[in-house]
Amino acid sequence: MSTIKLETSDGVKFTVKTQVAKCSGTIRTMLEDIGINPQDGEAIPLSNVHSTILQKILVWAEHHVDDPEPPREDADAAKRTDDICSWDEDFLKVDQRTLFDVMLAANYLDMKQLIAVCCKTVANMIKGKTADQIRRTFNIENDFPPGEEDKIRLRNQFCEERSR
Amino acid sequence: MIASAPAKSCAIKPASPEVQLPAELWEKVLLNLNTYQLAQARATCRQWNEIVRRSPVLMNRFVVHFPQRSSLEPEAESVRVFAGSKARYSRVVLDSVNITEQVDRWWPVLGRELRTLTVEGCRVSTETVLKILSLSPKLERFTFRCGSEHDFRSGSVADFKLGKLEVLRLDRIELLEVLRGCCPGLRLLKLEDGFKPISEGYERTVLEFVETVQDTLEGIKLEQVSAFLLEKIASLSRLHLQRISLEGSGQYGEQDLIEFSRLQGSIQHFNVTSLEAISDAGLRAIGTNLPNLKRLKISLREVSTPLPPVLFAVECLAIRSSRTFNHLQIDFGGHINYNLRKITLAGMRIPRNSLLRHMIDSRNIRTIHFERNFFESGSCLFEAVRSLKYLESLTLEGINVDRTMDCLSERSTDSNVRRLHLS
Repeated sequence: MSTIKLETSDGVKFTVKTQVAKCSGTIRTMLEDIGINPQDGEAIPLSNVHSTILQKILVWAEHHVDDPEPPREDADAAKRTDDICSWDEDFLKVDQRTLFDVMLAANYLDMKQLIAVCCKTVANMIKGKTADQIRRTFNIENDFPPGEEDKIRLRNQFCEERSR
Repeated sequence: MIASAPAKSCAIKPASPEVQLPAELWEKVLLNLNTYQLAQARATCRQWNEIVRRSPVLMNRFVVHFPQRSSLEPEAESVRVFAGSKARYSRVVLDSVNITEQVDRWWPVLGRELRTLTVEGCRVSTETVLKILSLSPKLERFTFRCGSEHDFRSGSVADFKLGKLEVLRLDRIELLEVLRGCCPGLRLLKLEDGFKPISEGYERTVLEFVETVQDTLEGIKLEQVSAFLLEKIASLSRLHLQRISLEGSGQYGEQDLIEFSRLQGSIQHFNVTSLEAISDAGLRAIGTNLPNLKRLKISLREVSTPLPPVLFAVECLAIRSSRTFNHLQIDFGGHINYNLRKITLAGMRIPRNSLLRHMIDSRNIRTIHFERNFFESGSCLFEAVRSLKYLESLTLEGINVDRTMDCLSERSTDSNVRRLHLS
């Protein structure tokens, strides 16, 4: 079985099945388009990913390597967030910093399905919360100029959801 | 996966303590939220508010509703809230509000990014409607429902173009006259003017309008139509309709409809309920004229076996019997339709086992609506429903079967039917 080497930002080298590594669009492009030859034994540098995060991401990729292409979703409608599979749910039971690091790395590596499931997980952390509770959850500072938040709330009051 | 330690250092650096996500990832997160949740999210901080404000998809989840019976004047609170906003709202509903002539003083801010506008139950003049439309250059869908019959005088004509307008839905023919020539890209016209009896003026206005949009128009819905109008529309040389919907009342016959289908052979959706009943021969002729038909909704007077082939090619089938006192017998026996997703049958008498065989073979059905049908065997209905593994919605109204319905409702719970409506 063919393998390739990946080198993280902190200099750790990983030997990974090519098929698993190709879950990353970025690596796929490097291999296919740019023509990096993994047989040379040279590691592909992933300068934006730390080894602790890559390790985690590879576990995810290994589990999902045979997943079929997801169906196209209607971009205009709010997406469902109750359809995260239980394996992913357990996988993403991590502290917020790790979750965000995984998202950033998945974004850099261009792993659409992993990004999607992370975004749903974060969205579930927002759902059911007031603006104030959301700020506390993500440690966000209320940086609106005085009065601005009230105006936004007022405008929101005029907008109600309608079934399409 | 094998990890080998780097030569230079074994220390693992902790991830940065201040991890934040870039705006593009936050936007992907926010795309999972509905309007209410999004409203809370955008009130948390400037960055999130900005992400929402700049995203057309997210802004499209907000529908601006001005309070009913309020007067929209430049000084009104609700108007000032939006006039001073940098937000780009794309959907607005004006429902039972009073819109004054000074609308052009505050509308530009709201109209700038507007894509969907609905005006309902508002007493407005043509001039005011034109002012609003001329200040909404990106409008894609415009619905105008007057609701009641008030004097809607017309005189002005639009001297601007709504280049993006694709869907126009009106219940006032007068407005159609005003808007002639200003919607060069229209795809769908829904005319729901059923207030006054059909007149020469009505026919002329509809025809002249359709003529101007015949290159782009894909669908027409008319609540009032005459044989003359049908013929004239069908003969427009550059018009290739995909959808026709004739509801409400009509002054035309079956032959007019057959001729229409012959001239507009590209039709895929054929929804005709204003003709009281179509004959077996009529249905066969229409089916032959429309080879691309996907949706068919009609009322039938008679049907002979074997059934017209058109009934076995469509994705969506709705047939009502036009008979008042007895049922129309329909025998599906032996035919297969893999395309069928949705079936509505009303006032039909269904022979023993006919439906069962048909449904087991047409296994992709998602939605069933049965109304006032007589099933010679209730268990056949029950077996049919059980065999459809994609069925999501089942509605049975006034169904007359020889077996108790209890077994059906009880047993169908183990299938994936999500909506079950029995009455």
